[in-house]
Amino acid sequence: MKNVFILTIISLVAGLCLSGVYIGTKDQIEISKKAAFNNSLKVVLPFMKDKYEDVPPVKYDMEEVPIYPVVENGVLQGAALQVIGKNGYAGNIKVLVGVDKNQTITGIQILEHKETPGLGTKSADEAWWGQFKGKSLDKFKFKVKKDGGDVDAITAATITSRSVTDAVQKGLVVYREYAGSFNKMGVSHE
Amino acid sequence: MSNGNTAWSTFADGIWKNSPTLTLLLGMCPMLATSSSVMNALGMGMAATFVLVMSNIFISALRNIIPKQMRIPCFIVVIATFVTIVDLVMAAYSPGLYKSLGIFIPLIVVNCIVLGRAEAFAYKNGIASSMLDGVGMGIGFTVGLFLMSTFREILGNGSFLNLPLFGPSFSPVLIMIMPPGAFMTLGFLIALKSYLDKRQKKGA
Repeated sequence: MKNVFILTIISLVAGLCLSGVYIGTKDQIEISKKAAFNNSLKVVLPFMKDKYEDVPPVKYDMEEVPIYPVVENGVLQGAALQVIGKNGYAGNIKVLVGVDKNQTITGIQILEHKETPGLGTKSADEAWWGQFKGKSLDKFKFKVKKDGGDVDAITAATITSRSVTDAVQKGLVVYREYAGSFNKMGVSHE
Repeated sequence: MSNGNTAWSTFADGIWKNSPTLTLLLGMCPMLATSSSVMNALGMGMAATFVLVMSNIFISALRNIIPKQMRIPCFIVVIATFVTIVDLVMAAYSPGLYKSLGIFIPLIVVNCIVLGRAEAFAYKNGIASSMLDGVGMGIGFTVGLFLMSTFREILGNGSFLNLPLFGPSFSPVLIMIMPPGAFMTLGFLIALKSYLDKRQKKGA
């Protein structure tokens, strides 16, 4: 009986301490997450002045793709899209793709991945993803060279390269659809 | 032996003689997994050191209250508390490192070094020497990680602390940053340490 009592007391004190730390760090964690995301947005959307529109995700092929459009004077300037690259080397890869109004890519950021450190992680370096900049669907084949496309795969990380390439292409396709509906109906926040 | 000597050896044993990773062979999982870059290794080493020192202090302070039959659950609660604190604080103030260490921060809970020192040292010794033991062991773990990650990052990625060391024509030995490289490096380091220890013994 005494043993249980002691363990209970220790757990109780531990729980109290942790709730204190949780409350103390909660806001800062939120701030850090937002700052990291905003930094990524700035990288992929160099033309974004200060804000993006808050719109619901776009439905595409059973998926919901979060989209962050930039609108100036009612004209769509481009958007960032959060797309999932399937079949990475270790699960899905979450990619943020920036597209401008000419439907060309302005930047890419890898938001989440579980790829091999030192190999697949190189997909996050601009040295690699820089090759997508200024590319569009009509003049660039979004496949790695091994599969007959125009993308230079990362050495020893072809699977990662494939997954990210697919995601980037998907981003462009979804943007094209979004831009089409935008020109018909304008910005919709619903 | 005087008191000062004991304190010193409590502290210093963990760093080299009883190095947790190279002699006791504890904490192998984070050692293998987070030593692919020096940055990760140092982050992991510091997080584990903090948990080690704090849990050693608290377990030593509570050693007369914690009943013998219930000691392991009590240890785990204390250790898990500090690990969660590290986890939250790191997520808040060092999101980059938090992201790259990922699951290995929560896994410090089951790091054998921490539980091992609680059981073998803190539960039987005073607060001050338990703290010293924690610091020594923590530094020993960090040194082991640092050696291993330096070796692996330079050979496997051609960089140190993410700064490229060689020109672009350098092609790194990729296997060094993959799991087989981790095992190979660990083997070589353990062999080197045994060799040095043996030579020292002969000399003495």
